[in-house]
Order: sequence, then C-alpha cells, then structure tokens
Amino acid sequence: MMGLGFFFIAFFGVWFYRASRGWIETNRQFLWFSVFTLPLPWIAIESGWFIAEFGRQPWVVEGVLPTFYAASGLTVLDLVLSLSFFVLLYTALLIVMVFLMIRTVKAGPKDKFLAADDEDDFVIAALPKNPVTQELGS
Amino acid sequence: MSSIPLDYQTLRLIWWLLLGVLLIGFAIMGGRDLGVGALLPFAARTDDERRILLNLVGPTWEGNQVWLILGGGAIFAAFPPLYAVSFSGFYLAMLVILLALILRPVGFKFRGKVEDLRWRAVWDWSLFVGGVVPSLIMGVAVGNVLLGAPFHLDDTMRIFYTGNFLGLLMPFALLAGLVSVGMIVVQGASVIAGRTEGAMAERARTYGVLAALVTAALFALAGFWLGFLPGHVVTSVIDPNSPINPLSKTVELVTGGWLNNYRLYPWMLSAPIIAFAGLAVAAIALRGRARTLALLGSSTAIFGIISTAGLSLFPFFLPSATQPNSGLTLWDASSSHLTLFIMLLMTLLFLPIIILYTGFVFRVMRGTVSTDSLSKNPNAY
Repeated sequence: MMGLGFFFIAFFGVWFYRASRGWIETNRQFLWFSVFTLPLPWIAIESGWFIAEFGRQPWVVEGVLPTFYAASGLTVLDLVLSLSFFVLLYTALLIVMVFLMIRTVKAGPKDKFLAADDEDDFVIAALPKNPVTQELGS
Repeated sequence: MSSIPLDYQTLRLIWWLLLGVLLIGFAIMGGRDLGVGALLPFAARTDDERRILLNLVGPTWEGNQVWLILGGGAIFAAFPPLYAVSFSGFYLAMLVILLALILRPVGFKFRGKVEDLRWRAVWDWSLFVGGVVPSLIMGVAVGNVLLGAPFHLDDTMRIFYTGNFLGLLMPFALLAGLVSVGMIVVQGASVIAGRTEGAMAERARTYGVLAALVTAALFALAGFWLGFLPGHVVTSVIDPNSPINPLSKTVELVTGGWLNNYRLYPWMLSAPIIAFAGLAVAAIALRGRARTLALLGSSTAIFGIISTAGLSLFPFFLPSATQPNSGLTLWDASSSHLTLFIMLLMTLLFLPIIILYTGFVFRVMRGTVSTDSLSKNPNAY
C-alpha cells in the first residue's frame, strides 16, 4: 500500500514530464504499461482497508467499545440478501457500461466529433504525431 | 458544561426542529425529481417529451438528493440511538430505497446514449421505479413509526430488533406510503406544469389535480385511522435535561394517543390545516394554470403533511411496539450537550451557504424547457 502510494507519485511525475514534452504517443510499451496500472489504486485502497480493519481488532473504538458489542443484530439472511442485490445490480450496470464503452470506442472520435467541422477545432485528435519535429519545422 | 451558552433542553428541541427542516427540505426539493420520475412514463408520451422532462430536473436533481444525505447525517450526529435502531432495524427497507435511488443517475445518464426506443423505455421505467419506490417506502416507514417498531433495548443499551421487512407492510403503513407517493406526484406535476408547454403540461395538470384530491382524501383517512390506533404516551415525569437513557421513562399505550398533542396544544392543528390548504391551492392553481402558485401550494402541502407526522409523534422519534419503555424520544436519544452545540454552529454557518448556492443554481436554470431549447443545447440529456 505504501509502496503503491510512492509509485503513484513517481508515475504521476513521469507522466507530467512526458506530457509537458509532448511525448504522449511516442512509446507504445509505456502506454500499455499505463493501462495495466489502472487496478492499482483499488488494490491500494483495499489493502489500506484490510490494515485498518484487522489492525483495530478486537475494538471498534480502542479501549471503549469492543467489536462484538458494536455489531448490529442483522441476520445472516439480511446480509446475504443485501450483498446479492448489490452484486446483481452492479453487475448488470457494469455490463451496460462496458457495452456503452465498447460502442463509443468503436464509433471512434471522427464520426462523433469531426463530421462537418474544421478538423483543427478538435484539439486532441489534431495533435501531430511527433510534436517535437513539428515545432522545429514551424 | 457551563461554557455552552444554550441549555441542553433548548438544543435538543432545536435539533428536533432542524431534523424536520432537513426532511421537509428533502421531500420538497427531492420530491420535485422523484415526482417527475413517477410521472415520466405517463405525462410524457413521445421521446422528445421525455427528454424535456429529463432536462427539466437533470441539472438540479443531484443537489436536491443531498438533502436526504444531510437528513441521514443529522440523525447520525444528533440522535445516534435513533440512527442505530432505524438504520439496522429497517435495514432491508433502506436497502430497497438505496437500490431504487441507484437507478436514477444511470437512468439520466444512460438513456440518451443509444437511439433505440426499447433502450430508452428501459431507462424511463427505471427512472419511474427510482421515483415511486423511495417515495412509497419512506412513507411506509413513517407509517411504521406511528405503529411502533418491534425493538427493545437491554440495560446496556444493546439494540434488539425483532421484526422483518414484510412485517413493515401493514395496512396503515401502506396508507402512509400512498399519502407520501401522492404528495410527491403533486409536486412532480406542479414542476412539469410549471415549466413545460402544450399537451404535456395539460396532462401533468390533470394528474396533479387528481393526485392532490386523492392525497387529501388519504391523508384525512390516515388521520381518522390514527384516532383508533394505540398511541404512545410518556407517563413518568420527563426531565428534558436528563442524560441520554431511553430506559429511564415509562410509556403507556393509549388508543388515539397520537392525537393527544392536538388536544393539549391546539395550535398544532395548524399543521394538518396547512397540509389540506396546500393541496387545495395546488389543485386550484393547476386547474387555473397558475404556474408558480401550484408549486408553492404543493410544497406547502408537503410541509404540512410531514409536520403533522412529526407533531403527532412528539416527543417520540421511534416508539417501540414490543417494549414501549424502550421508545426513543428527543429528550433521551440525543447526542451530548457539547456535540449538539458544535453541530448547531456548523449548521448555522453552512446551511445558509447551501441555500444561497442552491437558490443561485435554480435561478440560472429557471424558465421553460421545450424541444427548441433542447436542440440548441449540446449538453442536453
């Protein structure tokens, strides 16, 4: 968790440097690597949660309120039902969202944004492939 | 604790009032969006009309929903025992409200993404569910509070809730749920009639007038029924400055006891009178096409209806059906003196700010929404 925290700061720094030099699309491997860092924040959050929750046992409030005493009187059925509802609803919404994302990606930026307008108006699509040479040229 | 300028009793009463303000605030503000959602499949027939309704509440509904979170937060901070008993006890009911509310943001955001009528119908109906179900269950919850919840506390204040979800669906509670749906529909109809033109506004007026009349009838029926239900009356002497201990009092069940307050303090009858007057004004204004007046009447009705429930229960928040002495009142289920005072300072600081910026947003977003205004706005839903 701590390691990931430092990694995020460093990763942000590297990206800030690359972006300010205009090196956004220059390194294919680095772009792929960046895609695979997406789950890391969740891993960091979950491990932080584990540390906090395991670390404070057997207390909810250290020295004042023990965990067994603070737990609510919910039945196992209540918990099974609520967890199942959440899993089902969020899975359904995830499927819908992935469908929409794939659809948007497939449509691409051109159809949506560049139909009739001047192409230079759309900044990101109009970024030159290699901005450094572009700058020298002009 | 002599350094706190307001005494405990006063602070407890102020927080009881503030909780009412927040819940009424949610019902009036969030009720606009819940009501529009409830009327979405009926008042709006074509895709264009439905888009108009989404854009009517789209820019403001998220802000309105924060009143609900504020209300829940206020219960947590000002009346922790009430929070503990109600949120654990009504767990599955709260869950159903939450799941229905989750359907609203996705309904708003996903609906316009695909130009397919079946796709759009799915999200229209999820917005309908997201409007009706929370209104219904919150009303059912208030009905159950008046019936008393099946819980008791042991001598170390541990909570034992012995009911279940289906047990909440009692006839009187369902009646309260219908009153709640009715007043929310009047509110939604007033918003639609107030800010759209043409056939849809006319349909909204018809539904609004109908809902106002039905709500008035059901509200009257609920009041009449309440006279025959066992009400909880504290028979021991109440010390409003006492420490937090719900078990220190004795409570008796008296038939019609929930109407005692109106006998003791006749001014409290103004709450139900305001409720009926508000519904009447809303119905007349909707018929007479007075746009602002309809919304004003319907908001007043919501204020009156929720105040009636609160004043009938006073000083109770959550009476216990199974062990009446465990019932929670504002005098014995609050936070500490210091907590209530600090939170009052925070509220006095931030509530005006919230009201100011909310007012600003509503000012910016005022005016009618039509097909023309949608085609001019590239960010429309």
